[in-house]
Amino acid sequence: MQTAPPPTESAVRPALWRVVASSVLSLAGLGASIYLTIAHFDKIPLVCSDKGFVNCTKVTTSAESYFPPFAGWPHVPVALMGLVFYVILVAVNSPWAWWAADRRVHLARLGLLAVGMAFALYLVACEMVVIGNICLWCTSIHIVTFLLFVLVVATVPPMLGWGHVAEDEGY
Amino acid sequence: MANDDQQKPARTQADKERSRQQSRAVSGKEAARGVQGQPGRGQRPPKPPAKGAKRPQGAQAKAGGPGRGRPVRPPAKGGGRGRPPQRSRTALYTWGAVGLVIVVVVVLVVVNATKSNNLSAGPGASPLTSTIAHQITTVPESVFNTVGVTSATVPVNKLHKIAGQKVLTFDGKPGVFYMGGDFCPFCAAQRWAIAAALARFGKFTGLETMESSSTDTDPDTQTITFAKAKYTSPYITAELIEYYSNVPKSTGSGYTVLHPLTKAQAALVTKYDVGKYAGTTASTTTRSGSIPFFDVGDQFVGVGASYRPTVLQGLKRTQISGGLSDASNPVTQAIVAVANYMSAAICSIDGAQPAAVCTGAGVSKAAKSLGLKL
Repeated sequence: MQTAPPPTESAVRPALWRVVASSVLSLAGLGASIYLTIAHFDKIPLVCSDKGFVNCTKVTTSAESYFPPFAGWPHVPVALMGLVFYVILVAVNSPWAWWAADRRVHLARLGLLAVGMAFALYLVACEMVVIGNICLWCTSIHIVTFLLFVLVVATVPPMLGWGHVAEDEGY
Repeated sequence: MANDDQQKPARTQADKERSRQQSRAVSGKEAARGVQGQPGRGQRPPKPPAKGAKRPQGAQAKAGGPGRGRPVRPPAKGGGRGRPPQRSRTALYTWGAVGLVIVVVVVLVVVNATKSNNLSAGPGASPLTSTIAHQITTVPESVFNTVGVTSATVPVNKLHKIAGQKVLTFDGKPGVFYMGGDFCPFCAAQRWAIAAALARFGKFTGLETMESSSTDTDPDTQTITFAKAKYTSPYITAELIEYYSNVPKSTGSGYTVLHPLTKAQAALVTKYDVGKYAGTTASTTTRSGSIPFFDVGDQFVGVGASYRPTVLQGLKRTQISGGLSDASNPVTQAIVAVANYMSAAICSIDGAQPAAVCTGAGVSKAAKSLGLKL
């Protein structure tokens, strides 16, 4: 007789399209992050408008292009942070990671996207409120992060068996 | 409630089902509902297992879902009214999180739009990164000495010498005065040189990022602003005023005043910020009260930028500041040549201090060009 581990110790496989979509989105985010990181270190110019509301130069050379954005503090280029983030995301959104039985992989994915989405919102706030301009490449990464966030929060909790009504709550 | 005898076969069935579920994909609908087996809208929920029994994930839908033979809990007394239908918490969390993100973004967009409608302002200033601040205020002496006053590809203007005036003082020290505006592209160019020069005689704090108006000539020229800067020096006192902001007036003409002048400062502007002291290279504006205006102790003045801001077009702030250690960089040559002229002028009013600066090869070349003996 076949026995399966209890649902709290393993995860249900997600639909294939979700695996493919998350992998593709992660690779797209990685590509844009690489481009922004290279541009940050002045190796190549950003292909982007420098006039009006969309102004990549203004955003990528602002104080907020470092985190934390305070002079005199140790700070890290945001572009580099994005690159590291997406390198990890590509790994945790690979098919092998999605099919992993270890719950911690899925928890890590969920946690990463939650933190990533929060940081993306912080960057959007910087663009909208502090700098007054947006950067197309940064925005594209924010959108990719948002799509991944939606995908992951819609997929991972059911995989982990979250969301059941507690038995003593009943109905 | 089910008794133990009833539970046993139910769990066995559930275990089988759960085993199947281990390799079954989470579909879009299931994800939207949250958990496999959770009842959909309008369905009656399945009866939960007895307390203490393990709940098999996904088992309820197939093994005990409504309409599939699984017994459901009878309606509560009173027809069950007052009890909400069971919804997936996962779906609630999922779409709650997504909705929260969307709300935050919408709020930010509205804030931005409101700010733009109210002010039509240019970019807000933000503190310089320590890297940029360091690059601007610690231009190597070797670069000052190598460049001297030679800017091979970018023409620069000297300061104008004013004869027969007492040395201007602020608080008992020789005084240096600058008036500019955040929107102003010529000021954007001039500030690089002013900061590089003054940093040789004292220390800056509070330098911030700025760029010139996007609708003026040489739009979006990357620069710094002295609007909140503080400068201290044992040799001189500098009053650095950004008179205009980068916020257009509601009338649509001109920019709002950011930092009004004192009477003494206004008198300086009236007397020295006039056409006859205007440069010929950078600015064609020669009317009184032009910006930028730079006055070194009433002995040397500069009206208008000392080099064209056009050379800064398309350059990032980091590129300009990073280039200040490269004496062969044409932009650096322009900035440093102007800074050497300013330094020589300051040396002429502060007793040629500090000696390391005032006896440097770059400053000596500038002093010679200005007709000074330091």
